[in-house]
Amino acid sequence: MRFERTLGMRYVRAQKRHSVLTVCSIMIAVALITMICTVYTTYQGITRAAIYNEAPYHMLFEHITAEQAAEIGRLDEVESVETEPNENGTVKAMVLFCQYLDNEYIWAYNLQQKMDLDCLIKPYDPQTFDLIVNTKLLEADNLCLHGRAKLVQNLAILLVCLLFFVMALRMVIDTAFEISSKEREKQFGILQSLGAEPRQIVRILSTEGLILSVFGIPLGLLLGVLLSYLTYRLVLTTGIAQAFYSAGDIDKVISFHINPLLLGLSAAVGLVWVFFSAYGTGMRIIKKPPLEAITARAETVDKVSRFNPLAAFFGWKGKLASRNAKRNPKRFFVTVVSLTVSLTMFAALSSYMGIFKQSLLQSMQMDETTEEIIPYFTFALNDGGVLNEDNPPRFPELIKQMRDTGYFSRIENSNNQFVTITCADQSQHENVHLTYVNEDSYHSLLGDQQPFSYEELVKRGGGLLVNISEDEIPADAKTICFEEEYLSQISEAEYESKESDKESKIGFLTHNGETLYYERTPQDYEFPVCGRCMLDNSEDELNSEVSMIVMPEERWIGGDCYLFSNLQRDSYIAAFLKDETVYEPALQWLKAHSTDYLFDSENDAENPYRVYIKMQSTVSAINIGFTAMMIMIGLIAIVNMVNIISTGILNRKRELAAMQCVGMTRGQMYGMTVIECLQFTLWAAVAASVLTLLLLFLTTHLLNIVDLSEMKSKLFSWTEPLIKIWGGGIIAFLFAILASFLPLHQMQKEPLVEQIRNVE
Amino acid sequence: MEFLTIEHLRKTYGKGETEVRAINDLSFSVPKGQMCAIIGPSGSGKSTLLHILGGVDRPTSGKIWVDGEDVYAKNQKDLAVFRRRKVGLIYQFYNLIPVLNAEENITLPTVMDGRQPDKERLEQMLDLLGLKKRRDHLPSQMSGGQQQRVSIGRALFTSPAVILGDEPTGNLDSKNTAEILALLRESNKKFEQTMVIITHDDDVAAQCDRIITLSDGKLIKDEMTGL
Ligand SMILES: Nc1ncnc2c1ncn2[C@@H]1O[C@H](COP(=O)(O)OP(=O)(O)O)[C@@H](O)[C@H]1O
Ligand SMILES: [Mg+2]
Repeated sequence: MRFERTLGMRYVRAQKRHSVLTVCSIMIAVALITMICTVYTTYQGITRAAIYNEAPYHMLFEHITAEQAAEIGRLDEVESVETEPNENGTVKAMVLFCQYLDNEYIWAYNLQQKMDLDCLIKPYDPQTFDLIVNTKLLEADNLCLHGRAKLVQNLAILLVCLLFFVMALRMVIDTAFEISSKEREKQFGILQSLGAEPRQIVRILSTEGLILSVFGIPLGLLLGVLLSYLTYRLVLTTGIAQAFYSAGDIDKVISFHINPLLLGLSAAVGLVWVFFSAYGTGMRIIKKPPLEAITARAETVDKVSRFNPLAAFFGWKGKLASRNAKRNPKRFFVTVVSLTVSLTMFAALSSYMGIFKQSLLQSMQMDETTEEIIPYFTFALNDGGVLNEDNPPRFPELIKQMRDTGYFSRIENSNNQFVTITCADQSQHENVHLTYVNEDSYHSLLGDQQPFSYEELVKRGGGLLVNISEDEIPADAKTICFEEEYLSQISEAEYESKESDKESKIGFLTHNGETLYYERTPQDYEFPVCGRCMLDNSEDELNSEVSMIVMPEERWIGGDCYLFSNLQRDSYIAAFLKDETVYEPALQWLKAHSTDYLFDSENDAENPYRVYIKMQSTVSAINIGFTAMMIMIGLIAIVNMVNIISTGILNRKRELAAMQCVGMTRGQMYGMTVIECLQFTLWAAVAASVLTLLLLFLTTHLLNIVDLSEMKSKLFSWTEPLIKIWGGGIIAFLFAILASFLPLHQMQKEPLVEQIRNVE
Repeated sequence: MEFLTIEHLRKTYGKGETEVRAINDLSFSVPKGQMCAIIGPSGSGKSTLLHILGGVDRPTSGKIWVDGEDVYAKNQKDLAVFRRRKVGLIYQFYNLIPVLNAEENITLPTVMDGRQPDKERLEQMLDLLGLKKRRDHLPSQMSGGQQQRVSIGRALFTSPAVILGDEPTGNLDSKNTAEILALLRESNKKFEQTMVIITHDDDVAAQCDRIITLSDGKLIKDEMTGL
């Protein structure tokens, strides 16, 4: 063992560049795993704290005696009991456990048997039941069976998430070990030829791995914790804590958590991977006969193809570059694959993120492009039962009052009546909306496609035909005529007397708990036509398809409201809030006038601004986390690339020197290297493009199968990931050039003879 | 008593048009204690033969027997043990371990075998090789001749039954050559070692017991010098 240790240590020290890069690889791999673990722990910790903050006990006995509380406190599984006196002399006991309970209800039942607590056997009744079991906290502390099951489930999810990264990271560490220089292989070949046994070779490599891990793993843990802490601080700047918790609770709930067990796990994963890589490399080396390693004839080209696209573009430099790639196909392959994986991860993940964010925003009443929130209240305005001259429409006055509050930027009011018109060719046209709109409604309905202003509509007396073609109503028509039924209110007695008559058209409806009976009588109507327009609005499909006759509100008030019925009529009002500061007062105002208002219960649930802030901060937090992850992925790609490329250059040290000896200029040498870098970044970018598009295509397909029909049309943009990939490719290309120029530059400092000398 | 036997040995590199028959149906044997020179033009397969004898390469076909054992029938571990106990290989290009100094390079096979190197023998060896002053030097701090002597020391240190040398004096001047040759001869006599030495130097060949001439991977001449 001694000589293996000596050799391992000497190799680590002798091959500084290789050692540093391997330490970096180990460090980044461990850091990434640590980061994921820390994010998980912190999330769990905050969730637990939030639960505890709401109810700081596992079980709460509302009415027991102080003696009973003390007795409970003496049980082994109980960590602490805090009591609070009740008015009737009993105490309220908050119990925290420190041991696994299996089933908390059975535990409570047993306790009741033992201590004669009659409170526990009463049938459940929220008024009298005295035992509160805080299942959430028990679960969070893994003290009940369900909690354990949840823990296993959570760990499984964590592991699945990790698995992907762990595999990617395995590749990083592996590359660091595997892409060791030819020189190293030669060393192990010589050792073997001197009689070193396979396991001795593996031991030397393991020693190396161990030494490098001693530096890499603690640094990785440190970097991982540091980066997650940074990410955590950054996430907090989005105000996510304030969005979800009140100021007083933030201190108690929000904190950074580190789980030593998971840190240990990260370190263990790193260590295991290092040993696997060391072992794998050792096994690969000893498979070859030692002579092959010593003479290192491996990096030669067997076949040379006539046609060479690189040569066509870049002449002899291109030819050399492409042949260099072929002499170590494995290294070329690994370089391309690792870059491809990074680029694909980057593009595909950001596309998925985009969709996720979009669906989050969509679930809000939020403008996707400006990400601005425009909440509004929709409600039906009961215009006071039977409308007639004694009971004129009241909404104009109410809307005026609403406007006077100054809370609303826009109040849209519209009244609809379905009518059936007869077309020019005598066929009937169903579903024409006769719509009475106010000015705000007119704007929101027609937008910038209105043929004339609302004032003009009022002046002309109404009758704007929207989406009604000339086939239906000729261009020169001044009026439209149609037959509709008039609903007139009748008394209950009248209704009952006519019920047996099959000819009579009677019916009833309920409104505000009151039953209104009516009778239909056909009646002819004539409406003016003052203009027409076809809406061409692909965004709002609803408006572009519905045929409408648009009338000004003034006509409704002026008498049209009595045309079709004298039953109650509802006006539909959408009131858009001015800004977030008026949310509460506006709501209060509307509630205060609620004798006339029917609130849309959905929008009454929660202040949309708060929801919006929660969403916004969640989205930004996700963005930050995502960016942190992208940075790590980028780091992995860079470390890998620098490792592979610089090794490739240094392996050819003598050869490059030889070329310079026969007259290659430095510029030409750098040029050749640039082409080599271009070669594999091109391959990687093409591969990543194909892979990403394939991934996105499959995802789209999958989403279509599970049917998210609304999202279907605007799922993924196909150009965006491509731009990202090629942008990332260019950055990778620049790093590749840097990675090859640095060792080249270093080499240039030695005289050519030195470079060409057998390097030992 | 034959100590080292080669039977219908073949070694080919490449396939099809580019196939090279480095060794082409070669058979001969060397008795224990014989010092045998191998000569022949460049590319005639000398180094290939030596490497196969040393257990560091693999024959395409044919068998090698050393001390009654079929070398390439061994498993990896036994082959490694064979290499460090039975054979001392002196490479044309030294192949020293760059991270170990002269002394450590010489004792490496012993250490790898899990034994303590004999201090006295080490001093003696360093003295004989004229490396006393260089014992702490790394290969990169030594000249070609010095490195060559270290590699010879490494081969001789364990006193293996077989010494294989690929132009061990190729990088040495005539005075040094004579010294090294004397050292090899002495070791050969003292430990009754079987030696196969590749050389271009007629003087060196003339001092061996037997000269085998290879050409195109075949044995074309096999003569005893009568020493
Ligand atoms: N690893 C190898 N791959 C291909 N050909 C080889 C290899 N090693 C040796 N050769 C060929 O085998 C022949 C014999 O080589 P070698 O034994 O080194 O000759 P010598 O040592 O007699 O000069 C030569 O033609 C050489 O080109
Ligand atoms: Mg040779």
